[in-house]
Amino acid sequence: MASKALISLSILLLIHSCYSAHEHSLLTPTTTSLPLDVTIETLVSVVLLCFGIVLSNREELKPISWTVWSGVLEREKGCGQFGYLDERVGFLEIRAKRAEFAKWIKGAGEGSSSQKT
Amino acid sequence: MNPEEKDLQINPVVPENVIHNTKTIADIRSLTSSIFGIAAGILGLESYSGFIFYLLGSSIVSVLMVIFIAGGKPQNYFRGTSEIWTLEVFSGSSLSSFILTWTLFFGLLRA
Amino acid sequence: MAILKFLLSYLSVHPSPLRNPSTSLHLSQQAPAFLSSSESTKDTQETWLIYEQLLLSCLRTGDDNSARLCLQRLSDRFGVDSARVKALTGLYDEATSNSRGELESVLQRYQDILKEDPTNMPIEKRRISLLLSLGRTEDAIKALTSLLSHSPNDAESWAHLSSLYFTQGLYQQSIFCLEEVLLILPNAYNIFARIGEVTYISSSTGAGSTDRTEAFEEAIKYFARSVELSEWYLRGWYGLKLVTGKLIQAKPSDGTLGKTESLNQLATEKLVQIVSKFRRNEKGWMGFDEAEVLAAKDLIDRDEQRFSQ
Repeated sequence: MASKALISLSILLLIHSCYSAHEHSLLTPTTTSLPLDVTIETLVSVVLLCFGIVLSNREELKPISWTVWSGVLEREKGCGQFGYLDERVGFLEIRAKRAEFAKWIKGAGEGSSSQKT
Repeated sequence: MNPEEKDLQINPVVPENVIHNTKTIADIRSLTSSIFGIAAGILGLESYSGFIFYLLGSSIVSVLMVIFIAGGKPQNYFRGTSEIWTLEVFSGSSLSSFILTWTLFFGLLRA
Repeated sequence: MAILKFLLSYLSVHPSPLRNPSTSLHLSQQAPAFLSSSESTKDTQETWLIYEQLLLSCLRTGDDNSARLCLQRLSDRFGVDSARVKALTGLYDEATSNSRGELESVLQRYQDILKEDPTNMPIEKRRISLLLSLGRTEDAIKALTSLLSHSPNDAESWAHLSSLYFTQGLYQQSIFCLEEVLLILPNAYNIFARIGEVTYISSSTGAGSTDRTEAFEEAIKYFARSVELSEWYLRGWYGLKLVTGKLIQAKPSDGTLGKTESLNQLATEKLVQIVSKFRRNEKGWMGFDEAEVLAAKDLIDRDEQRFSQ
């Protein structure tokens, strides 16, 4: 969020300095160098814009090490790149799964009712 | 088998993540380099000073990326340690988009 | 939030909703809302993936109406002759059958399909799991080995054959199948851990004590590789701690124990870290299976008691 505000602010600054430079070139017919304040404004806006762009890509990179990345997947989702070898959806025994679910939901129902009493 | 290959088998890398990271960096580079082009045009830089400005800006972006995006440890995210510094700086679309916006804004403001 | 986006983000956090009942329930409860929303008519790859996941979850939770609707739309889009749709249709029929006779007729239908098209893998897999549901394990193993003889690169089938052999107590064959998986996918850390587990279990039913320590050492190698490939693989660390502990008990006076002890210590540290972070509901650590974390906690506690005694 902060990075977005930074980007919008610095874009405004950049547009403003661009406009100033344009006015300057209209008012002074011979090619003289830019006034100091416009130069500073331009440089500041560029640096801020770089900050904003870089910060908005924070936490965008993913670790390339297999060990680290699969560790992240395991602890965040509990299922790494090879989770399908444990699950084996192609061989899903749906009847057993249904029975297991029916038992679980019954147990959960009893559990919550016994908590109430 | 040479030692490098062996190391790669013991500690494999995730190719999708390498591609993803490289793409992220390339996106930032092409965006920032066109902004450098705009600034160079506004400032009215000519010939060498423009390219020096570009190099200076690119290294600032590199430093920012190493600190904020890679958390100071670029070797965790890239195969080579120099990749985050040099990737897309001299080749690819970044340099050409810099030159494009530079000449465009220079022409608009000075003509 | 738009329901399509919600479902996508839910699936990205829970990539395997069938693993525990609560995620299946959660997903299937979203099904009616999704099916009646305008977003369900979008023709994108993501939408159809969601349809498939919803179908599986609804079948599991017994919401057969939503499941039928999902199946209907999938077959409207991809045609009833698509191999995947055929397998899903079969799955639906299996789930909603009420008697053994109905299941037998589904099996007959699978066999008819296979007669026409012997290379239809999804249906072949369905037939094998239906044989299992009917209690015909021997036939299932036979069918699976013949499937693997003509498509030996299917890791899922090897893994399944391994688990079938395991339930039959044929540990050597089970390990062989897992090794085949490793030939196809050399980085599959969960398979490494599984080989460790099977080796350990087979040793506890086996004979002499020298064989046992050898088997322990073998199992430790596999567990160690598993956690080398994934730094937070709970099952790998659990197995490593358990088996190194057993090995230390089995031969208390030996010069080679230093390594085993340090492995045991490392595994303990990692498990303690996992258990404490999971219990504190720390962000990024909630993916672990609760039962597995409890088992790890149990193992740590037992170990501590033994030391204090």
